Amino acid sequence: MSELDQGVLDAARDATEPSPAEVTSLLRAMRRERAPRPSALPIFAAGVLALVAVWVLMPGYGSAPSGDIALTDAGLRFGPAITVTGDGAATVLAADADGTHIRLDAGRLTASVEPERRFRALVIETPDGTRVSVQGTVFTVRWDGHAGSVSVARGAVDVRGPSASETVRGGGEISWNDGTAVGEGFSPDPIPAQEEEGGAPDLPDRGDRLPEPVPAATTASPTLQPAPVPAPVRQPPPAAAPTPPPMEPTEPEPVAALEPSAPSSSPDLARARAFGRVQEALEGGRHSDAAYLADLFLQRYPDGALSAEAGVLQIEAVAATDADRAVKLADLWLGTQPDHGRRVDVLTLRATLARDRLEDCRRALPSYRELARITTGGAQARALAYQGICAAQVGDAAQAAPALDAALSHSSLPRALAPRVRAARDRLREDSP
Amino acid sequence: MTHEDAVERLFVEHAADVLRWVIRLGGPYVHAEDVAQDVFATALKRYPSFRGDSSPRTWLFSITRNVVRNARRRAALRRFVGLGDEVPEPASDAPGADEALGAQRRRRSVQTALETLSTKHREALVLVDMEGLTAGEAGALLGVPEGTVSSRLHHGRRAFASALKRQGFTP
Repeated sequence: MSELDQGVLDAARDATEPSPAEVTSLLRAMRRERAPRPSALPIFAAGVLALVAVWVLMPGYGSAPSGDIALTDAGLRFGPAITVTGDGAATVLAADADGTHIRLDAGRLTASVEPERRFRALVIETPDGTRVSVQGTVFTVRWDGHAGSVSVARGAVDVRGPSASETVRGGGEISWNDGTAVGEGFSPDPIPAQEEEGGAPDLPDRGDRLPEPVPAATTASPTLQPAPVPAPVRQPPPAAAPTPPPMEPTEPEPVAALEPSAPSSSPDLARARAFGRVQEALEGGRHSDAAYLADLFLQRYPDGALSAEAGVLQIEAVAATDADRAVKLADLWLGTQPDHGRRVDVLTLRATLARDRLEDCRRALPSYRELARITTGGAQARALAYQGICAAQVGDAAQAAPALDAALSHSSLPRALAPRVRAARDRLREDSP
Repeated sequence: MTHEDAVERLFVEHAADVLRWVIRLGGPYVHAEDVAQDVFATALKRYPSFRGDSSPRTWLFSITRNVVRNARRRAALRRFVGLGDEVPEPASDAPGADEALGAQRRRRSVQTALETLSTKHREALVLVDMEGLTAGEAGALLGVPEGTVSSRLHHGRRAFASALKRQGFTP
């Protein structure tokens, strides 16, 4: 064992062994986290009411199937443009003029979407969280309980999930399993070993391709705009490829000959490597390199799950040198990623930058409000505390008082923060008439 | 048994493992308990898709590894921009506080030494030298060949030994 003495190693091992008290404390905290939260009920009820309102108001979708549906070859229509056939079970999560969202629980689902008819979006989801979103196409999704596949007869679909992230074009096919062997979310690992041992890869020549700074809060950075619809490159014009009837078999059409499906592993690997370089730069503290590489990545790969993650890395990298720009990038990201798993991270970073770096509590408040609503445990306690402190600072006593009270009564309020919260609450009481 | 119950049972069985991984891989600037809770939350979310192809421990490790990576990045950024989150503090008035403080300092020394290693070297060293895996097992977990693990281990051990020395850490 080169230069590392066994005795020293044993001692290092012992020093990093958690004590029984720490394990007990962790288990207790986890059980607290699992306690039901009654405050969620009104929010849920409001969501249901909003959904009903949308349902009633949207023309043309009132008769669309809802809830659990059986897929048959008889076909089901969703609005003017979407027909769904198949064999299996599915659940309609939403179907209105804003879009159609179906979870395929088991079996096969074939969707025919007429590109020439106006419609918003169709999303088919499998139980492992993989989403197939559609712009105008004929395609089939299969889910056998553990593995899924998508084959596209015509057009293009975007597949995003824990184990798959790819745009599949006409004639193409992708399959995945439910991802337990892949690990979590967006990690591009493993990167092939021969690439890794030489240290950080060289940065590409910057030339004059440096990313443009974001000019104003209302102007979207090209890297953070919503993912564009995949361009129908090399697709035959619609007139040349008539829409097959919904009950047609879903084998690739002759279009496959015009557009051979490229092997998926190579572009995926290139994408993962490029993403890995951004991560490496950030983890190595090379923030301007990371910002530059993230920008390059987003220009090259504007679609897919890794792009959202690269957006987060870009915000983190920019935050190191330009807090104001980072907050603006965070606003754009939050606007385009309403349900992303990293939302809490981005909100936290945005709030902290606005409060501490920009000393702009008013700007930080919306993030703290949302964090207090969507987080639990220590994160929620901290969000409530800073929401109260910030609201008090900008003179919004009506918002500050309940937030500070909620923070003080929160079981997970960090000890280090409690005196500040108490002081803010006391000052508020003194100032109140 | 619901998914939640199954994950809770899994976590009760492996809480010490997860906490230890977080302490060793996360470094001195992450709240180990908070991050371990995040691992639990992620496991809860992903459990429906866990098929048992790998052992539950391996599955939890892969989740821990990714959650820790994100937590480390956030912590590094906070430090860089001068926002440093509150670092866990040992209790000073409880019985046995001196002993606890001493243990905390020793842990901090080891974590600081591990912090000087690159992520790849740290992961290899923690898995093989601290967790007792073989290079092959570690390679399977990290998705790299056994030889790569050995190479990382060689560099990692050298760097770790020097860093511990600088920290004044003795057995």
